Amino acid sequence: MQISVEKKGSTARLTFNGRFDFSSHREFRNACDEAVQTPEIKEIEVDFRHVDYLDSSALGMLLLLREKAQNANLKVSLTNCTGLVQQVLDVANFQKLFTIR
Amino acid sequence: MDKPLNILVVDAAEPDLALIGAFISQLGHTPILARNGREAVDLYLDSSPDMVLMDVVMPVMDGYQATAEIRKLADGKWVPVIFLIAETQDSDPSKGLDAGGDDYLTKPINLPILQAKIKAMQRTAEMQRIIADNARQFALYREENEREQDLARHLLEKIIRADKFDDKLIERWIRPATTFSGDIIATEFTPDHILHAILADSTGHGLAAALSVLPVIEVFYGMTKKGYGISNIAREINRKIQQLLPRERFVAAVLVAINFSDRTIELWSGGMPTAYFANEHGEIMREWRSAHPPLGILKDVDFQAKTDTFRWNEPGHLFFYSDGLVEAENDAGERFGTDRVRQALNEKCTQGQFWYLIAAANKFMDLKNPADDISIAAIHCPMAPVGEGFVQPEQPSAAPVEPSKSRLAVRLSPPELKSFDVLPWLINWLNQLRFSQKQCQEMFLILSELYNNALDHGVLALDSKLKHQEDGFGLYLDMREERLAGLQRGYIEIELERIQKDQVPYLELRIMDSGKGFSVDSMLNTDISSSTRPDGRGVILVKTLCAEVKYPGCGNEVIALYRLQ
Repeated sequence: MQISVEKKGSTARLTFNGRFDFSSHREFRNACDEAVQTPEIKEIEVDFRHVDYLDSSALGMLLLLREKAQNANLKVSLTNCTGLVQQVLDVANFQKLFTIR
Repeated sequence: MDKPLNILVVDAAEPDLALIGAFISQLGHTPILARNGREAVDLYLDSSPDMVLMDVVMPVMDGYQATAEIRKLADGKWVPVIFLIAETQDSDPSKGLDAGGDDYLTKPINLPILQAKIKAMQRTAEMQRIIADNARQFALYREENEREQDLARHLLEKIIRADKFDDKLIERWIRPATTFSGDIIATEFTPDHILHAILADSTGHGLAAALSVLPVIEVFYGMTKKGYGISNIAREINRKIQQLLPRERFVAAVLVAINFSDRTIELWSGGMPTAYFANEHGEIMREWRSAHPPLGILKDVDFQAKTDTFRWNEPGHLFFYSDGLVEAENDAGERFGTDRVRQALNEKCTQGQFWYLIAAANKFMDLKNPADDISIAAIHCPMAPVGEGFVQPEQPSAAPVEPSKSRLAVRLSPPELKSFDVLPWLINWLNQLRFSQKQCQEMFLILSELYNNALDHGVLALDSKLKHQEDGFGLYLDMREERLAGLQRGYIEIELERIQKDQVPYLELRIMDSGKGFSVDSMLNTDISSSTRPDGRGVILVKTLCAEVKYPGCGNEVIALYRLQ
């Protein structure tokens, strides 16, 4: 999976590409750290537009991001969740944990 | 200098043999001399050399044949063979390489080149030796690893009690993606004979996932045996996973409580695919979508233990399964999906829908190993109550009971009535008094029947007639939930006392509620076998188990005498 980090004002947008599963662990962590450690960033937007699959370890990584963001007082939102991504997030009731747009 | 080698030198020409032998000795290696192919093979066996220099044209056995024999004898060990080819012969060097040689030199032998080739072969042989060593170590490691995995699997199976799965009410199928399953299905009865079942699926698969479900199982069995409800069990498992597992690990689960005499299914689902109740014609009568995040994610204060209850009015099966099933892929990259699950449940199949579903999943995956663990469970829900065999007229306990006058009284106000599981707590106290397991089970049943009557019909003033109406049970449950949530006033008092009456020890159970009381006379006289009224059945069970049941007031107080000897 490829992750691009785009910073615009106080928002960092992480755009994922492809399958989001355990093999994405390192890239995901690097992208999150980059976003969380940039002082002017107040909100992280995770864009799922180009993700065609995510598994339970991906959900685990999102929980890690949520925790890091909470500790740094940042907001996290998940955007453009459609198809299978939306189904997986629905079943896990992640709308109770994240803002999903 | 490098390690000295034993070098087998094979040459039919005596002067060449002497020259090469002397040169090899000078290099610090040990020459072993053979004059034809046969001698070479024999000496190879005796001295197991590190390298062979092989002439081609020899009497008795030529160099090609000797090399072929040596290769057969080598037994996995690589010994380099260098052919010595006379330039005058019109032999093709490639013939020697085809026969199993590793390199060649032309005669007359250029000694510096021979020295260089011996060095090169030595390096290659050393590399080969390291590879062979690694392969041996790897084989050892693999063997050891397999032994450890066998032990781990054995232990895990014991802990999740995989061998216990013999009851006829539940069918289960687990297909792990690796040796270990991160999915588990467990069942256990509460003391008042509610069947609890759990299907848990922890993040990922393999040993790490299998280990993560252990705390789940421990809490599930322990609390069910003590009589806690599934809401409280779900909450406790959530707390335990929060405490034990790293943040990115969690456990999706369905918890079910089935009351076969009330014909109700209470279900909590977090992060699991939709569960279904299908009747015997395969029609889906009820579905439960995942209502919560998986266990282990939310902090205790945010955790929601709310369950959903359904009452079946015709026999059927409750089906639940892990996401490995819906996400299973076929060769074309399609997923099995919930639509195929529903279709399979709709099929008529003599072996039952459960096996039809498994066959459909297997066919879809074309018998390949799944990418994730798959588990499927079906619980049979018949119209006639099952598993009440233990409600027999009481057998006197063999162990003499010491005379005692202990007494326990508790008063519960709305906050406790809303959330506190008081019965396991009381039973825990009774357990300390060293009653037999059977007695504890019966006392639990009596307490739970009387307590639930006091709560539902006393404090919450629910009319039990509602339950007997068409579709009334759902309404009843909704009203119960609503009234309990909004409860401001009311109480239940419970008193347990050991008494002696005519030299006979009893446990006296007194339960009083703040309600107006209810008519009990008609229920007490009903024949148990013909009673289909759940609440009526409850009171009659109590009467069967107790020496005496009295309603001294207007029905809001009940005193039951349970004989201890």
